[in-house]
Amino acid sequence: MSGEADQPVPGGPSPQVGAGAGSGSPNLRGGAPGAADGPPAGPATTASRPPAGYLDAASSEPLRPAARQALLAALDQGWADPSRRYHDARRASLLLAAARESVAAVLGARADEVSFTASGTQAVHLGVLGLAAGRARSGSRVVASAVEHSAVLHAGRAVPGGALVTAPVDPLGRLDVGAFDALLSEGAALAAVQSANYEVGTRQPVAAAAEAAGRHGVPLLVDAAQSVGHDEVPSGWSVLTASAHKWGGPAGVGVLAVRTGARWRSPSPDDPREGGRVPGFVDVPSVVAAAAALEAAEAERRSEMPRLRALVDRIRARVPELVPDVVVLGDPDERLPHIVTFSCLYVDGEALLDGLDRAGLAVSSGSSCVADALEPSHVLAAMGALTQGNLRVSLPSGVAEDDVDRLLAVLPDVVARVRATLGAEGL
Amino acid sequence: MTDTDGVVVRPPHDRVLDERGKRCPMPVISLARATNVDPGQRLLLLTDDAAALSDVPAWCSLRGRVLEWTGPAPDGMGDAFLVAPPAGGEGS
Repeated sequence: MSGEADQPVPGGPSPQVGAGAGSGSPNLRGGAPGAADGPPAGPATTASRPPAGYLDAASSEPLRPAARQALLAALDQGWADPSRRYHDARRASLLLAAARESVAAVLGARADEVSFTASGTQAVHLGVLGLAAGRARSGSRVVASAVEHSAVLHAGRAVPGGALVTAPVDPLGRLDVGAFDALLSEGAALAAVQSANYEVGTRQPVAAAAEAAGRHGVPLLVDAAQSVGHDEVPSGWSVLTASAHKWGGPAGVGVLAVRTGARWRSPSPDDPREGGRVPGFVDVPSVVAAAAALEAAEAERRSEMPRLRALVDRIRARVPELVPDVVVLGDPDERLPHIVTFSCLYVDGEALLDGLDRAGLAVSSGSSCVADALEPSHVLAAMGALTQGNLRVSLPSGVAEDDVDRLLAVLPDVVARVRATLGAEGL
Repeated sequence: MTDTDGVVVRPPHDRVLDERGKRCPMPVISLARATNVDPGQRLLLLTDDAAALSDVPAWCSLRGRVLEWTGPAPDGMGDAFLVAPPAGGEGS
């Protein structure tokens, strides 16, 4: 200790912050520091403005400004172990409790029913395995829709001694509730139905599925990853899971909600944290940021989602007019507001993604031949849909209308060029 | 389609398109080309591309062709699809 030179500058960067962070003092009220914090993004504002050309929100929504501000503040205020008895711990505990209350309210849950996980995938794994563990006497069969996320299907196959059976969907990707009901009548430890499909946007008949599950005394897990922050959150679940980075929160935060009275038992070694449901030290700053993002998403949902819905309607109508031999997939009406998927005949998905990337447009594909996928998406296969030349366009909140116009302007030429390369013109 | 000994019987066809080793969307493009050359032919497409299981039926319904039969390739390597003209005529 050698005097004033070693004292931290009041309000300056704290010593443990890594080099290059370039952040000013985290401000509790989220006012001033914005400008110095990142790429030039104009004045700090509560409205989202995603990067230009980013049309892959279903993979990950860009971090909302409100979440960024909350994260920076909570890194300073919420770092301590919330289970301890001293000032900094109590402050972390209060921040965590407020975040839990806030997220629970959006989900239609009680705060003590909500636990935070390290990812949406972890939430799904714990949800499925925990229901299976709590219901071991009722067998180990897992009944799921054929278009669940791979996290659900893999967890279902991981149930000890278990068997995963899938219920079919119609050509729009909607669960066949009759077939689902029939599978449940043969007995099941649990059932899983997503709130809406992550690939084609079709909403699932969760109320009907919950009614069928209830009739057979089978608990229902609802994977609501794509709906929370974008659409109404369904009820009727025993377990509900979600993921913060899908609503503009940070990566590394999932949500596991377990209804009071549900027969759920932790599949993990004992750990008292997060209501005994999720092992490991909870990331309070990220949870606080996730809650702030969800509050921001909910605050703008009723104005922003109709805007995104209209933009998706435009894509659904215009693409088949602009590009020959395109099939638009999913339910045109009963769908998430921000997702649209279509497939182009005689095109490979990878060339399509590369062509759009060169035009500065970021989308994703369920085709095979993309990255490491040797098989096409199981969702498209279950729908009996065309899988080649598949594109999923998903609009982030605050997307510029100009990005949609640019996609529509660029797409015909990109498709035509791929077809020419493959010698598939005029077929 | 198997006989009583479990031996694969090749369904009657005019031409074999062996697209094994080629990946999506080439097998379907080959099917479309052959159909363009002679719309009246019954084509047996052989492929080991997983996407064909979805894309051949989808293409048939888009182009008004009839997928008469699907099964293992005659030598057991990959899948076979018998694609025929529509019953009422040669289709498009």
